[in-house]
Amino acid sequence: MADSRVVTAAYDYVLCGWPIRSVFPLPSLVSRVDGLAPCVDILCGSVTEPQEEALVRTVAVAIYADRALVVIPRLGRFLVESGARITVEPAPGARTDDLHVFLCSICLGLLAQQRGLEAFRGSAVAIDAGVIAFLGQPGTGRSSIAAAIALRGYSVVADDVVVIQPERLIALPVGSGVALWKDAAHALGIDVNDLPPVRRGMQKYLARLGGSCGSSPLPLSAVVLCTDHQQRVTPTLTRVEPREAFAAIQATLYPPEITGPVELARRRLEAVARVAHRTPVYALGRTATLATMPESVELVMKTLGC
Amino acid sequence: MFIWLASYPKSGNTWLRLFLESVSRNGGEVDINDLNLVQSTARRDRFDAFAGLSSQHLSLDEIDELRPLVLAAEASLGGAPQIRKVHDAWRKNDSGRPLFPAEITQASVLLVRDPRDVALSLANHLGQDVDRIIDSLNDDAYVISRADDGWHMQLPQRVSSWSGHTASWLDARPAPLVVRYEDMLQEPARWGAAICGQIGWQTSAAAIERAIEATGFDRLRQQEEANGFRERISPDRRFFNRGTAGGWRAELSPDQARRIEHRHSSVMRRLSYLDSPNTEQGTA
Repeated sequence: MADSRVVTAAYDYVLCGWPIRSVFPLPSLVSRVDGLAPCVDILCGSVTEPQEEALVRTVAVAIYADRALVVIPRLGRFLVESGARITVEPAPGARTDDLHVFLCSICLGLLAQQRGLEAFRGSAVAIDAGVIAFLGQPGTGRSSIAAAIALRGYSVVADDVVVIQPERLIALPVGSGVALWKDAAHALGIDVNDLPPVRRGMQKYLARLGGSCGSSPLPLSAVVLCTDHQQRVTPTLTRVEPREAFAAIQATLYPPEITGPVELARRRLEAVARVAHRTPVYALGRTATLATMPESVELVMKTLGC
Repeated sequence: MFIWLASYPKSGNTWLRLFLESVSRNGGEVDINDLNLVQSTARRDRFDAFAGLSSQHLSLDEIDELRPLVLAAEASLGGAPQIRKVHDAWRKNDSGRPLFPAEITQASVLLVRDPRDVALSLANHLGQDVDRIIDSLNDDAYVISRADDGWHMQLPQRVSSWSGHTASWLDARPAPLVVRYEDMLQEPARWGAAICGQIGWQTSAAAIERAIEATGFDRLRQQEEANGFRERISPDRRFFNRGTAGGWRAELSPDQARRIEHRHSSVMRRLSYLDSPNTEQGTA
């Protein structure tokens, strides 16, 4: 549990439409000056493991009834509570600017879960008809294609983690930043020299592209599954039947673990089923080279009516 | 429990994996793009699933802290021993935990290859010049799939220098079965049987013979030419390139061979790579 040694918050942002206040800078999020009281606080304090039995436990993540603990050796401990508070205890010697990327990924996923939402691995852009979510494992080109579409004037809704309200099938805007590896940025004509690295020493940079998507939820209009390149020569985009889509979307749940109490697993699987059955789902077959990105973008935009 | 197939990159590990895949099918045919029996310890998706979070933004040191815990979690599920390919050197992380703990190790096989041939094979695989590859072979801090040079499907692995890698596994406990690539080429049935025995498989000599035939170098190369190979880095360079022993004599310059021999002489001698008049003396 978190103790009372908290530091006064210094930064105000909006995340998924929620006003949040953080003692740590979160450069991928949208700042706010609305003066609203935060509904999510990100604090610094000591974190100990809850005494209750975990409902779900992996090596680095333990999920309890209304709390979740993330422990990353040498970096820090993150306690996510009641969908309203994240307390961070940085490890000795850890740099606080290394915490941001985990606060905005695994901690966001856990926070969303506690608020009755579901988080998926992927990136999302807003088009006229709603939001296209590019879901898939890291390294499958999700951020690159979202960035390529944003460069055509559309807004980035989320990168790395896409938060969806499953009952209403709406996507909640996470932020307008896209994290791109250096080679992907170069392929898209983005100069990384003036961009901040996602994490020190990493050749991955945070780019702000396209317009602002605002802070209001947007309807989810399509899901595009991003997969390994499988030695293709040209990109492909094919419609995926709900049964097949279910398994592929389930694999992108974040946090990934769906074991544990029946109610929790059922809730998550129902969310996946809703997305798979009520949203058009496509599979994007990419090639091994970023040079074909324009073709992938054309394919997506033409098929999805951007 | 785990069985580790340890090797420095381009030392025949893929061939060994294919051989074992075939043996597990009683010597049947194998598809080089559909290998299921032996997985890499560096598989990112498996690590992420057991860790419960994405490794994409973790540092090398953070990943090293989590890896023994992830392996222990996998081992706790029980079931048949899992065979895993390893390119990491055997070592402990900063917390003093071995990356490949003895308590979850059933057996190990260390596949070694003459570092002078490794240099040539790795240069072709990575599309780099041989001198640069020799720098890597000589580098105790050599890491593959580093996160600071771009995205990799595999976790970063601290391989160490060729000597550092090889000595670390030679001295690991439990002690591995040490197999020289050159001996595998010359006496595949003998060494294939020894490896199967180390793994704990009861395998007939006939199945081993069939597996040797099914995974002959020409057969693998034909498959790669016809269908490609998922594990090759560039479509322009073959993964199954030559597979021979001693090619360095014709292709390395005397200076290049000397650089390798000078740096690795102690471990090369330990593995009898410098005993023959055709080796060190030939290039001296």
